Amino acid sequence: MNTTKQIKITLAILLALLAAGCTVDAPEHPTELVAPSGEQIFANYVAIGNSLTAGYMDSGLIMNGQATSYPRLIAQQMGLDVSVGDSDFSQPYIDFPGIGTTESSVPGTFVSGVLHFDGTGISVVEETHLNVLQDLMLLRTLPTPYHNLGVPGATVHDVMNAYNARTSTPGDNSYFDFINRVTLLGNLVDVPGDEDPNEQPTMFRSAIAKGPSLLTCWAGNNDVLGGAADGNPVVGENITPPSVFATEYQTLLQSLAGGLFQRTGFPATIVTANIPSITSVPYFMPKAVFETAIGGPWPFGYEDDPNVQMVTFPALVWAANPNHADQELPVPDDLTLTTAEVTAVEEVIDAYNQTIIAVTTAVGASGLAITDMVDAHGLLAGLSQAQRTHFVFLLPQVDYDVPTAAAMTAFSLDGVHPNNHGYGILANAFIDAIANLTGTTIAHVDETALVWDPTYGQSVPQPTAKSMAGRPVIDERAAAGMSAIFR
Amino acid sequence: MRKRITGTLLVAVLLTVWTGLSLASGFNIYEAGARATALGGAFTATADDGSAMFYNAAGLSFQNGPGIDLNLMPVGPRFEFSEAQTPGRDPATGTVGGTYYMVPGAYYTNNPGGLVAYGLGVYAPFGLGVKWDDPTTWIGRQVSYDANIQTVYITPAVSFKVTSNLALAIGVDVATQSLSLEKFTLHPTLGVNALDTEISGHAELNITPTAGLMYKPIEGLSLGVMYHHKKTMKYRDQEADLKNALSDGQAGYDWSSQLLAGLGGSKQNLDADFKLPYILSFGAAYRFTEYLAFEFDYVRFGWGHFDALTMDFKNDALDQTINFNYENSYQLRFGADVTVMPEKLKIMGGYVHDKTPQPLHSVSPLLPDSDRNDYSIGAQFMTGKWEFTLSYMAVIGEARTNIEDGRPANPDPAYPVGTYKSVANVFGIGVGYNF
Repeated sequence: MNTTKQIKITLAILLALLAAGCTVDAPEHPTELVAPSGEQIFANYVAIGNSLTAGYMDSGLIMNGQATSYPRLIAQQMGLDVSVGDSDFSQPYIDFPGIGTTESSVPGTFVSGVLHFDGTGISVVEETHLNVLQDLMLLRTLPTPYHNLGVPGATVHDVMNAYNARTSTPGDNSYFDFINRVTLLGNLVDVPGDEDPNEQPTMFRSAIAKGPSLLTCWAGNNDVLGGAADGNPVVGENITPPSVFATEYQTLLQSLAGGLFQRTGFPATIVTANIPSITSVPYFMPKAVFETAIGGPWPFGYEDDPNVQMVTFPALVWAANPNHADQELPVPDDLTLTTAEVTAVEEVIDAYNQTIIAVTTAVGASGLAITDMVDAHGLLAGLSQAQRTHFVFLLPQVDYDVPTAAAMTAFSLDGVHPNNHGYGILANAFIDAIANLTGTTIAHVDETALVWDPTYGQSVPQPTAKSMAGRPVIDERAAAGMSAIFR
Repeated sequence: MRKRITGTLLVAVLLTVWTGLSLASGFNIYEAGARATALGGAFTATADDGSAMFYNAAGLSFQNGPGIDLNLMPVGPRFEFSEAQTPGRDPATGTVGGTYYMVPGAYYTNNPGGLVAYGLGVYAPFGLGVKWDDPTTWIGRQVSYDANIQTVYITPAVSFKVTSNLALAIGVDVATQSLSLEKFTLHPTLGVNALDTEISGHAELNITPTAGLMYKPIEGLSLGVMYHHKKTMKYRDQEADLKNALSDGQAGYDWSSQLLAGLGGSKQNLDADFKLPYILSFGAAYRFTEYLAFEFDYVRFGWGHFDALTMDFKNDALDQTINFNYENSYQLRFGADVTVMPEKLKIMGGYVHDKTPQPLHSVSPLLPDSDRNDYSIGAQFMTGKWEFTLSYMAVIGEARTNIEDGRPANPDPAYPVGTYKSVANVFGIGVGYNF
C-alpha cells in the first residue's frame, strides 16, 4: 500500500467519525423515588385554618400569640427553623400592639390592638394609626406565601375561595389582606370581581403551591360560632347549614389531597381537627356563672326568660352599665342563648364533626392522602374547670395574683381563643396525631413553660378586691371586640 | 517570516471562540491539543509538541528549535434529562445539544539547544457550557437554563535541562475567567416565569505557579510530572441583571415588579470567589519499537477546593451560596502512538477513565457530571516543517440518577429529580510549524 493510499484511508476513517459522532439516547424515566416517610415528612409543613391556626389571642393577632400558635409549636418540635424571617416555617407576624377586632376610638383612622388586663379590667392595649399599620407586619414583603396560612374569621368557604377582604364571607375581613396579600401574590385586575380565581392566592391555592408533605387543616369553627356569639343562632342565616358545610368541607379536603398529590406525586399527610362545643369555652357562660359574676341574678330578668341557658361574656359590660339597671332593662337576647338555641348550636357542631371525621377518613381511604383527625371537641371538653375558666374569674380565687391566675387558665382574655398555655395543649394533640401517622416520636411541648402575660408587659396597678369592685370590669369597646371576629 | 507567523498566532487566539464546556470531570477541559487528545490526553511523559505548555513544560527541553502549534477543537456536547416518574403527572425531559464550542490551544515554543528552553501557551483548561433547550419550560430553569464559564490560561514557562536526560520546568499560569449564569424565578403561587436573572462578570487576573519534570532514565522510557496550582478567581463588583419576565397586565406581573422594587431595581452588584482545582499528573511513556509507543498517566484533580460558590451581593437579601462539595478525583489515561511511516504519518489512539468529583446532591442543571469513559483516535501528517493533526474523541458519560434511598439527593424542590446522560464529540485540528 503506498503512502498516498494510507493517508487517504486514514483521512476517510477520521472524516467518517466526524460525520457520525456519538449520540446519546434519552434515559428512561427513573422510578426509584418513594414517598417521604418518617421524619422526612416534617420537612415541608403548612397549616391552614382560621384564628385558632393563626395563633389569634386576646381578640387580635400579635407576636405574643403567634409565637405559640399551635402550628409554630408543632414546627418547632419537629426541628424546623421557626425564626422570624424567611425560615422553614414562616408566619404573618404582627408586632405590638397587634391588630385586633375592636373598633378603634377613631374608626377609619386608627386600628385597635389586642386586649389586655389593665389592672382593673380588660381594655384595648393600644391603637395604631392606619398610616403606620403596615410597619407592624414584620414579614409583609416575604415573597412567598406563609407556611401558616390561618386567617382569623375564615369559614370553610373562605379557605377555598377568599383571597382578600372583599371576597371573604362577611365582605370586609381585612385579615385576608394582611395574610393572603393578593396585591403581592395574586393577579388583581382593574375591575374588582373580574379576577380569575385560579390566579389568586386563596388559602387553598397557596397551600397547594407550597407543596407540603404535612398539612394541618382546622376549619369550620367560624361556620357556627358566629351565630352562637350573636345570641340568635339561625341555621342558614348566621350558621352554615350542615348540608352545605358537608359539601364544602368535602370539596376542600378532597381538593387539598388531590391537589397535593398532583403537585408532589405523593400522598400528603393531612391532620384535621373537629369543632369544640361552645360549652367548653369561657366566652359562653352558664347563666349561674354570669349571675355569680354580677353579684346575683339580674333583677330585671332576661328578654328570653325563662329559657336562658348561657350568657355571652360581653353581657358583663352590659350589666355594668348603670343606665341599664336604672331603666330596669332585661338582659337582651343577643347576649344570651336559650336552651333551644344551645341545643341547636350543639346539634350543628355534632353534624359538622360527623362530616369532618367522615371526610377525613374517606380521603385517607382514597389513598390520596394519609389522614387523621384531632378530637379538639373532646380535648377542650376534657380541660380542667380552672383551665376553662376566664382569667378575671380566677383572679379573686388567687388573691388577685395576676401571674398565678394567668397560668391557671388555658384561654385568653377574649374567652374563645387559647392563651399561650392553651395553644401548647392543642399543639400536643396535633403532635400526637402527626407522630402516630408518621411512625415517629415528636417531643411534646412543655405547655407549662408557655407563659401568658395578660398585661402585655404594661405597667398596671396591682388589682385588689376593692379596685375590681368585686366583679370584672370590661371596657365597652373590648367587649364589642371579643366577638367581632366571628361576624 | 517569524514575525508574520507570530502575528498569525495572536490573531488566531483572539478570534477563537473560546467558550468552554465540561469535557472531563467537573468542568475541566483536558484537551489542550489535537495530538494529545488523540492520545487520550496521556501526554505528560511525551509532551513533544507545543501543548507541552499545558501537559508538561519540561518536554520543551527535549524538543528542537522554535515552533508554533495552533489547535482548534470543536466540541459538541449533549445532555439528556428524564425526570423521575411521579404518579400525579407526566415526567419532564430536557436536552442540551446542537451547539459546537471551540476550544483553543495556541503555543509558541523554542529550544535553542542550550540549557534553557521556553514557551508561551494559551489554552482553556476549565470551562462550562450547559444551555438547556426550551429554557422557558425547562424543568430545571429555577437552578439554571444557561451556564457558561470560560477560563483561559496564558502560561509562560522555562524549562531547564538539568542533565541530558532530566529537565525541570517552571512557569506561571495567568488566568482570566468570565462567567454567566441564567435562571428563572417562578411566581410562588401562579408558577409562571416571573424573574429572569443573569449573573455575569469577569474575574480579576489570577497568577499561580506551574511546574513540570521530565526524566528519561533509559532508552525508550520517559517519565513525567506536571502540576498546575489551584486558583481562586475573584469577581469584584460584578453585575447581576434581574429582569421582570412578565409584562404589565400578565398574571404575576405585580409580584415580580414589587419584588424588584423591594430589591432596589434590576441592576444588582456582587462579589464572588470561584475556585479551580490543582492538576497533578504522573506519566510514564515507553517506546517499544521505532513504530510503537504507549503512555499511561494518572491525573489527580484537587476538586476538594471547589466547595461552594458564594455570591455576596451588595443587597444582602440576594446573597446566596451554591454548595458543590466536590471531592478530589482522578483520571486514568492511556495512549498509543503508532508510526505508520516515519516523518510522514502517525496514527494514535487513547482511552480515559474519568472519575467524577461531583457528589450526588450537586448533580444539577448547572452541571450534571458523572464518571466518564473516553475513546480517542487521530492521525498526524508531516510534510517538511509542517505537521497537521486530526483527532476525534468520544466522551461518554455514565447515566446518573440523583435519587438516594428513594429520596431526591438534593431536597431543594428547584432541583429536578431524574436521570442525566451525556455524551460529547470532540474533534481536533492541529497545525504545527517548526522553524
